[in-house]
Amino acid sequence: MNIIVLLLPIALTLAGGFAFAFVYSSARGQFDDLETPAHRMLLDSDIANESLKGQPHE
Amino acid sequence: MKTMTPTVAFCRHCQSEISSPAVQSISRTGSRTGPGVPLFCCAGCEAVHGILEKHGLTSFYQLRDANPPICAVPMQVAIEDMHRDYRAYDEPGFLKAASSDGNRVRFFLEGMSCSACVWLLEKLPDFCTDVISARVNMAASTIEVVRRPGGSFSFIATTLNQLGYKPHALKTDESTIRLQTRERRYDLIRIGISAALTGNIMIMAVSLYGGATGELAWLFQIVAACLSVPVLSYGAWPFYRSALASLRLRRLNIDVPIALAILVGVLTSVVSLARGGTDLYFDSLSMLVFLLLSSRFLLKSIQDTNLQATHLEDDLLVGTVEKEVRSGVWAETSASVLQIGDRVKIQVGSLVPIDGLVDSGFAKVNAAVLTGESANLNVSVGDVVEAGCRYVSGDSVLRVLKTPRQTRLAGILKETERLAETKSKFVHLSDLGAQYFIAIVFMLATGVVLFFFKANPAEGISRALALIIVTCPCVFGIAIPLSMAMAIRKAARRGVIIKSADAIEKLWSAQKVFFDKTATLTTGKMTVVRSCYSKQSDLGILRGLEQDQLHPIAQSLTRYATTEGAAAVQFQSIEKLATGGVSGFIDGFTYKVRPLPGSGINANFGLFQNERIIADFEVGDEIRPETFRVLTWLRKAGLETHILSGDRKPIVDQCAAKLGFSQTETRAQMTPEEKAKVIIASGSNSVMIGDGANDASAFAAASVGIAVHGSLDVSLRAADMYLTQPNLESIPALFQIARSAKSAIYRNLAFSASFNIAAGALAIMGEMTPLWAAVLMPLSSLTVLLSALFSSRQFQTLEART
Repeated sequence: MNIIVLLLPIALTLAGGFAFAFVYSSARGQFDDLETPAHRMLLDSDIANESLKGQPHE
Repeated sequence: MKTMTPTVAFCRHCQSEISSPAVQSISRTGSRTGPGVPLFCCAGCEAVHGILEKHGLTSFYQLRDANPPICAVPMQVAIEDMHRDYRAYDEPGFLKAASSDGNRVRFFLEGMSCSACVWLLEKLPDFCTDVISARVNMAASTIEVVRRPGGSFSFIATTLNQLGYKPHALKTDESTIRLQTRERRYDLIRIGISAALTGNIMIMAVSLYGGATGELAWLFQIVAACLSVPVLSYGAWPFYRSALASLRLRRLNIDVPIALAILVGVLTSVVSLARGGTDLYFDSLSMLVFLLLSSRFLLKSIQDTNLQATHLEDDLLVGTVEKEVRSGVWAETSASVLQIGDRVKIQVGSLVPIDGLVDSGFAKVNAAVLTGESANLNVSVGDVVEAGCRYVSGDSVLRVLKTPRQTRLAGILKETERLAETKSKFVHLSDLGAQYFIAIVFMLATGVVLFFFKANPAEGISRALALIIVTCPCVFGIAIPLSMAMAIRKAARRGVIIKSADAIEKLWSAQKVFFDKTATLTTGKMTVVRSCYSKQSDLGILRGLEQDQLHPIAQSLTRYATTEGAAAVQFQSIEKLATGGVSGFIDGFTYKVRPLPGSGINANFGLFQNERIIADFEVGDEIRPETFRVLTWLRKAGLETHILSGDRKPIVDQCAAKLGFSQTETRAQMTPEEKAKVIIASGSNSVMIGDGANDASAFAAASVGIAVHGSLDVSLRAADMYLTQPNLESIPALFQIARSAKSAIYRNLAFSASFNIAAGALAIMGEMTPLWAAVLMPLSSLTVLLSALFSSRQFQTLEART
């Protein structure tokens, strides 16, 4: 029983921490556009850079 | 007679099959090419490819070809579309409406489909010097462009258009957008908090059902109750608010039984907790709130398409014209500042923004947008040109009779808005269901209370309350929004943007489908429908003469010669004839292309060599190749098809005969006002498919209005759905999607009814415990959820087979 008294607050704090992180990032607009960044991320790396080869880097 | 073996090849740009008899590269220099050199289906695609090549952006194709299954949208660009006039976007009035700080504008883009498009569009600053930054939002199909100070938005819009993404400027009502963003974020936060708390409540609940006793059970009960407080108050707030609003309007909606079940559950549980009982429903109720919130959010975020009436800029009432400021001195000015009596010149290819009297000269105008008439009209001194006509050619000066706000066109727009507002209030299936649902559950609950009234009133009340809690209508709350969201998403993948789920429900009961003719059943572009020539070189001469002319007929002749594989003959100089047509001189011959007198429906043109006719061509508005197939499908599906056209009767009759419309199904020479009247008179289950300003009122009057690809902004605003591909192929798919959504929803209704009958029976017999509720309620939700998801998969495989 005693251990429950310790574990319960720990579990709830953990859950609260994640909930807070979610609220914080939603409020800052992290989830406003869920589609485009996925594509953009793919592009910035390989092919997009290849096409810029030979051009001066900004 | 020509006999050539058809070769299959694909356009380098839009990947559509090139099916002309002789496949050749149609580069403008006319040079024939060997294998390995890109082929194009039309001059538009070639031009876009040219732009990409010039700026070193050809990895666009690599990217696109890497995801063929996603990017199945053809990107064909018609060369006529590339000369669209966007000068209105430079006016101060536009900037005020569309930009918050004067440098930032959002455009809705047609034709965006995969990561290759994102890549290309975000490269805009690299090759369009007026752009500082470009940011794409794929889900909304929009791009936000920031211009360099002094840059021109018309130039930016033209560039986007030339790449094949037709831009529509969006009004930035800053406060609305901020409000929407905030609402979306709040919804997400609500879901997040409900999810986190529900998860933890479940941990407690499982150990309680698992047999925890004594102090531990008491502690867990208290903690679970405390955790459920935010979920059942803050989380469930939208349901309470909506239920209250609906009660105030004396119209039951689906949120009334939901809110009621939650409130009754909370009350029962609190009373039970205070008395030390075990009738605690906190876990089931929290789970219910979380699932309801999630499925609603999904539907809402899919429905938000930016094409809502309030968001689109009006492109018809603005425009730039040349105005005579002093006698003989002309200056460009915005149409919105014109006064009655001003003398103006209209640029070839743009829409006439005013009603004007021809003061001098002559002109050809096309009223297809306004009336649906496909043929060009010749106007000369004394004739009136109405606003909304496209100025095809000529050098006339117009005297302003009516300013842009006073024209018939402006009247049509106002009428459209009025009709759209008064569009009959629609009772959703879920709200209708909710009414029956409440009636049944309350009759049963009262019955239970009365039955136990004498023997054991407390037991009767507890059984009745349990009944109300466990029969919560999750099918209406979860499965219907989910099925609708799936249908909207599926439709988007097939090239139909649906503005709201209502339209899907309305499609179920559709009985009559009305089609506009010009640019809907037909391509709306002039095409050579008949030709007579003896040598391939004649076509080369034709192409050489016409390829640099902007006139739509010249372009149609050029397109014909190119697809037939003719290389252009290089003329030294080409003159325009005063009577219409062009002439050029080469190798000792004078060649002319000019109209032939004819009485037929279509226009005829002859190619002359030293005044001797050597070839002739008939040019008309061609029926889309897929139209007949689509109509046959619709008729087989039991729908009545009608033509509702503004065009002249002989032309409409000819088209109707070819497509198998009967006399009673064909109506010609309709004004926009008459179209709306016919639709209202035809009853409530009508679908209107069209494109022009003359269809906008009809869209608003019909129960579902569908705008085809390339429609005007005003039609986009009035329509409920919008085709993103330049063909009608997606219409049968749309009906299929709507019908499959319907069967999925009815199947879910059956599932849910059986669950509710079982749970209700348990509650009435007094066997219902919180454990049963905790098992049955999520199980019922989960079943309908999986069924909604599963049905879509089944549909996709079915589609793949056909």
